[in-house]
Amino acid sequence: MTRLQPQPGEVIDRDRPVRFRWDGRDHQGYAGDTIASALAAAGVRVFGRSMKYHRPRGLLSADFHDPNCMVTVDGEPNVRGAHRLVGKGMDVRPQDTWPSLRFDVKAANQLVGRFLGPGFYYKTFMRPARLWPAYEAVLGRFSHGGHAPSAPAPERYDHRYVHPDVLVAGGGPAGMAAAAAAAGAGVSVLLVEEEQELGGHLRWGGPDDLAALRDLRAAMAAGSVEVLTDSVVTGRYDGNWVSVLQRAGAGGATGTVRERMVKARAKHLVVAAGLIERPYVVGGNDLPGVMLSTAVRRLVNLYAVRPGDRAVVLSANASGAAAADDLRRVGVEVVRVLDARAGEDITRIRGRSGVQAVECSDGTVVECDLVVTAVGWTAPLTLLTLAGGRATYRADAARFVATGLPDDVSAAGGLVGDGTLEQLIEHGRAVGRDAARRAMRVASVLAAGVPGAAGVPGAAVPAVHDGHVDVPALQPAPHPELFLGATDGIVDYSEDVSAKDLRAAVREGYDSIELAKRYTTATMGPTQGKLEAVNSIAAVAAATGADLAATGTTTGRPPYVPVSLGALAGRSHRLLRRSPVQGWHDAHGAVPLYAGAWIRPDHYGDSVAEVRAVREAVGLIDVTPLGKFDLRGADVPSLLELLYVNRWRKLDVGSVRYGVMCAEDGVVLDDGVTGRLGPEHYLMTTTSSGADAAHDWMERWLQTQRRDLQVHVTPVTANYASINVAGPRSRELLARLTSLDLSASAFGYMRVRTGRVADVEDCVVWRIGFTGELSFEVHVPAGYGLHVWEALLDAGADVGVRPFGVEAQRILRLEKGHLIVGQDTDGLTQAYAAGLGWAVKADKPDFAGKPELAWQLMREDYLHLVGLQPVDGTAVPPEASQIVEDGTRIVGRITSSRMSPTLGRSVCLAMVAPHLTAAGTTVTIRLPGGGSLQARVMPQHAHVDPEGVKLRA
Amino acid sequence: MPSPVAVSAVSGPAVSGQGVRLTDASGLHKVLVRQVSPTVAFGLTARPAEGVLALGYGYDEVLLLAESAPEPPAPAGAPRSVVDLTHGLSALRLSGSAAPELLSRVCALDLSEAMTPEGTLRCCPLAGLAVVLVRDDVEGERSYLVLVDRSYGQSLYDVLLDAGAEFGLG
Repeated sequence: MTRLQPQPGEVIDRDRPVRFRWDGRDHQGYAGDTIASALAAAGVRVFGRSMKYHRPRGLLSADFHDPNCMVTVDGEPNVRGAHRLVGKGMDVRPQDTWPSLRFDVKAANQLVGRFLGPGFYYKTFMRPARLWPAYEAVLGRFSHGGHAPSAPAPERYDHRYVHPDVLVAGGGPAGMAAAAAAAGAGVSVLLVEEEQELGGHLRWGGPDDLAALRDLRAAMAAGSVEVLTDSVVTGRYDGNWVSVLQRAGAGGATGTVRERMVKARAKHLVVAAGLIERPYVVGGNDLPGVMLSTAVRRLVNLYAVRPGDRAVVLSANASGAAAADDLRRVGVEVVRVLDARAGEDITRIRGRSGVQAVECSDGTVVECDLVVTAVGWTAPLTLLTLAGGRATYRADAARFVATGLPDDVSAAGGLVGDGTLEQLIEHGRAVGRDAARRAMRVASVLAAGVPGAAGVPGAAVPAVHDGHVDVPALQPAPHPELFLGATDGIVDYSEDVSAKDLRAAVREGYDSIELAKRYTTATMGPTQGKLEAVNSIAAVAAATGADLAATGTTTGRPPYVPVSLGALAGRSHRLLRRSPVQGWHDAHGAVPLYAGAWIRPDHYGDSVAEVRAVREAVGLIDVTPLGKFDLRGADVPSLLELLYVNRWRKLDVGSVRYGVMCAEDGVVLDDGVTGRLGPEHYLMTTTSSGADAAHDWMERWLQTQRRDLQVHVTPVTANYASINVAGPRSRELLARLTSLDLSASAFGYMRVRTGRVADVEDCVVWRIGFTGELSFEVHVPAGYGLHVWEALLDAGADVGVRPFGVEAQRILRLEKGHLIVGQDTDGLTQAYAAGLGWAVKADKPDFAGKPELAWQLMREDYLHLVGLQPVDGTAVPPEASQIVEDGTRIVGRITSSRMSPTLGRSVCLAMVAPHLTAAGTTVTIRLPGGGSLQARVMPQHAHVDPEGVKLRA
Repeated sequence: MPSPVAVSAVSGPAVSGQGVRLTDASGLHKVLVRQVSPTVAFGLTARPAEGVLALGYGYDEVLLLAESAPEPPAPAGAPRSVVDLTHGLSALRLSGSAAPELLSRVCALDLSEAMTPEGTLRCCPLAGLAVVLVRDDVEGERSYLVLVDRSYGQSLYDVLLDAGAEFGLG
């Protein structure tokens, strides 16, 4: 193959040479060349090796779908070499060859070919099973495709959401005409084209085609059509949700985006995907030098590449004749043209690393280096069948067509039928006008459901909106059925599946197209059936004796082409919830804890010292993530009575109460304190991780079962920064910053006041005690959170104030036996099991969970939460360790476990079987790594200060 | 002691790019009014008084935004609650002709003139964050207010800044 003189429609720019490397050697092409065309012009004939048998492969279709030209470019694997444009300095390497393309050792597979029949991997390499790792290592060397690079690509992947009125898939003549016509009717249009430029088959056509292309480009420029080239519609989903993989122009202004997934909700979809030429299945059909007629026309007319010196053409249609004309025009000797319509045929193609001769059906042998086939067309129906269309076979046209499209999808051009160029363009125009009309109707329906939406798009033309558009009929032209030749050839080039393999599959019982596909992997490669589905169906039909219509097609599924995982993922964002004090934590050595979406300080370097500070002096903890809800209305007590197990009607203004929420199955849902700030104003708190669920729970009751309750619930979790000041000197510290009377007589345990703290108005202060020490929790309007935090630290420097984190809080509360819902309880823990029976007021008329809890009381069979101390005080059993009896029976588990700095020994909470709950009982803890521990059941949950003297100071 | 100053959750500066500007509007006063007959229908906005933007926030909720503390509307006779959410929501303003294009990178909503004109608001996900997107043009220039839970304010800023890289935002 060599470069020709300039051709009228060539897309290369001979003034801009491009240097690149192929298989380790320097090459030169021109701007506009694909990798394959540049190499072809330089005389390269072999571009890769086939998957199983490692046979040499050359260009087949010379376009996006060419299966023989998958290469690795600058480390990016599985690039379509006949589609990707050459770039300066590109390093292009072949795939699937070892050690090199020319001397591929794996070609030895050809010798053992008979042992590598279809499904060989189901039959070989099975025993002995212990050698599987070895088999895997060997087979891995032979696996198909390139290697994923180990370093991430510097460019980004991105998403974009669009809402075009009409989306046109396919930028050939019909697609362009449809897009221009729809835009002319005043709707927004997005046109997606898989090649680098619009025009489809017009690009490599004759002067009439090129002239029509110019006119179509002009028509499109007149309207406002957004064009995405080097982009593919990968799928169509319910409601015309269409995914588009965009490469060219994805980078935007800064060019840093490698691929973009464009997610389109189109009001109407026009599919103008054209036709794909089918290869001929005959012995030797995968030798380098065997090409489709459209491949020849592309190489000659787009890239000025001479595809060979002596050609034999097998032609059943006009494309074959046109290819022969193009070859003659550029001086290639067309030795023989076999007219398939007259029954002439190729029996076999001969050669070793390339075509050398052709055996014709009349018995002659013709020497040549180029075989051109034009045996028929496949309509790419996948998008239509994804939309609900059905594929039916037309024997007269040797083609499957789609019927039964929904109202919001239509097909245009060659995909529908054949005709002159004018007929195809007119069909596209009519479909485009019709699409615009339908899109406008959809727009009205959509807008009707959306507040404030205007309804009709800007420049709508009323006549088109209301009228009826006649779409001319377009039928597929008659065409002979030419699928399988006299000898066996390759059916699926990517997967190296031959006609013989498909016959063997049927013989072994895989006699439906779906089974034969899976057993042989035909149509399961990168081309996904575009070049080989119909030939596969024909091969199965021939083997079963059925016809193609009865054999049917396989089910097409998205994506239409392979999609990189990066494009599916798009950008990744770490979405964090932050307290107003988090910046301070970060700057002061806090080790982060990620709790749900929140980032919180786990500790500041020494959680033991933090615990000691709280027990002996005073500590500050940022508990902003605590769920907080503002409750207003006359019926708040009723809601609280309903959702908490305890009593709330008599909670007076200024009081705070601990509450437990159970679900309707009696399982503990959440706990927290709720305070009454005013006659009809309450502040409820929940656990931080349960806040959203608790909100959901409250709203569910208020909006469905109890719409009679006058209650407004407003989440204020982030509205307040919450700071817990805990320790024997907490009152002393806080008093320095507020005029509120914090003395024991004026501000008792479980009381709440609002007032000024550190010059900030409207702070809510209550006295509660998760840590078991005297403590005040201050809720500050969040914008002032950091100010109050720093004010407390400044004011308390002399009393030894220090911040403490979540870990220290966990230790402190465990020492006090305070349970954490979701840690010390699970999805089956009903209230009495958690030791919360004291809170359950069973004489209330009704509350969530009441019937189940009443029933729980009648049973004895549930685990109970108990305090536990390992006999060996230095041993800290891991949380979730099982408690076992008689070595085998599980009778409980450790729910919380820490070393207690206050007691100098380990302390735990655990769930144990009812017969083990008596104080003093010894239980056995099975450690995860093996071995066991003895532990003693305590009389109460609290390990430190069981009477709670310090809390009530 | 100087009077304490409220600090925004957003610590990034105001930035601009090609046809787009991003500023922090978190300092706006925000008051949530709930009553059975809200003064503004869900999904729409109104300007009941000078400098006050009222958002139809929900089926019985109106959120009032203003530079200085807004007066809640008169009670409609039915039970009503007024909750100050000034500190509970972060707000960013995205302005410029390229604003809808930038938003289309992270928000699936149809932001065309036909579907989201001036005077509408939408509750929707934006890069996974639950936001309220308000179309609030300023002096004829396309502009959106994006409201999110205060604690996500910095994350929202980071998301929009990242989406704006393509537009030279920074």
